[in-house]
Amino acid sequence: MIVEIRDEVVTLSGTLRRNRWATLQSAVNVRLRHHPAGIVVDCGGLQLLTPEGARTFRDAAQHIVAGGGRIVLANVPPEVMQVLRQTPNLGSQLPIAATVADARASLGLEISRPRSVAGGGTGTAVAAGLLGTEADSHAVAMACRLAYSMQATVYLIYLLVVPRNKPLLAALGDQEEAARGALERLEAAVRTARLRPAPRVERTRDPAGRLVAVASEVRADAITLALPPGSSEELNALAEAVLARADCDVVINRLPAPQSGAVPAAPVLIAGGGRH
Amino acid sequence: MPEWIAHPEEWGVAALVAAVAMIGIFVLLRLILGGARSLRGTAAAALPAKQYQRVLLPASPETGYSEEVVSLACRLAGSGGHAAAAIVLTYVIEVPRALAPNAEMPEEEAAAQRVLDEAAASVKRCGLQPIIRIRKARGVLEGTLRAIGEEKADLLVLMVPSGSISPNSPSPAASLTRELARRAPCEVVLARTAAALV
Repeated sequence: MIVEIRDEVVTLSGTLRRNRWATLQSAVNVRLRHHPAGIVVDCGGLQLLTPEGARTFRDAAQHIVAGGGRIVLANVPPEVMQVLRQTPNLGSQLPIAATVADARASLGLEISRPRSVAGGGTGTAVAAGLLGTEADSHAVAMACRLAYSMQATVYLIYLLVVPRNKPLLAALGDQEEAARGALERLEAAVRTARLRPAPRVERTRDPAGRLVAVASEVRADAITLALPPGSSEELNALAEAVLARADCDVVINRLPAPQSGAVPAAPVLIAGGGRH
Repeated sequence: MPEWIAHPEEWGVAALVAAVAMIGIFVLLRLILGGARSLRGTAAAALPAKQYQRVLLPASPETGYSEEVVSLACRLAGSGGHAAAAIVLTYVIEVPRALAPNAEMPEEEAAAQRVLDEAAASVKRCGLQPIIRIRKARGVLEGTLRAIGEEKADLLVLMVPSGSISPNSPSPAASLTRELARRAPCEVVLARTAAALV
């Protein structure tokens, strides 16, 4: 199981076969000191939960509630939900929210509202997802265009995808160097456009999920992504996932092939906007 | 102790020398820092200008227009210090094969005009001048693709329809959007607003 903790959100991914509360307890305690209202557990990346693993949530809930806080689960996959429901004294007692934003709202941390720039909103942040392709500068240009009228911060979120056969914090040499270089250049470009950049590298195994999570965390009003001509199925699937999962506006910029009139090799997939 | 301190008549000269030295240091620092700034500046990636000439917003009985897509198109067409792009609002009426390609379809044409007038009013509220076109075609897809070429559009703005759209069971509007995004010969912006989630 992989655990990522940011502010009051604990993100779990992989498999949870055993009771891991003892491992998580100290980190959760630190979070609770900063966020006494409680914590959100984002289960979106959980691929497998066993009844023994589900006891992690039972012990966590007992501990957190005893301290006066709350625990709210979010993005629970159907198969994980099934195991939770079958676990005695757990499924019916654990508060479960559809999204992390809803869970945070439930903890009184924010008002859950769709964030939008397309409707002429007065937002404060636009997140450009950077995928390490030649189209990244278009994503930033689009973000700047959306951010300009409201002088919003442009978050430059470089998604550094870590292969599953390596630890999440493994050194990635050239890729990290490329990420740093790209971010420096794009950060300077955003400054040149007289906007405030906020660059960050996100190491992840789930780039779409991470981008959506960071955008939600920084309260971005829009996410921009750019797909190069003839983009791969992998990139199209990523765009589809962001369209489906983001709780703010999403703008996908598909670039034309250099020769006007050429049909791209791979289709741009479209996903619905249903909340999870 | 420096010798000039004992000679008040030389204090003016000393002050002058100190002032010149300070100005020299100031100019030197500006040159060094300015040089560093310009070096950093050269490392900046040149962002694509994203200046469009003609932005096409297609509509059909299946898709219509939303306030959000018009607002987004206005932002993308907006001047940013340059000449603003023209926003072309086009509505494709599907003509059944039983009829002639240019057959009169008064009800459909009136409906199209209403939709276009409403969208045009939104564009004008953004401070831009819309161009409206009613087109007839055997299919909305082919009619829209033809419009891209004939209108010389360099940007196609599409809104992802609200509701869940699975690739396995797509709605007609979703299929149309997907095909347009795939086959359009120009740059495409595919957007989904947060409002579509509610």
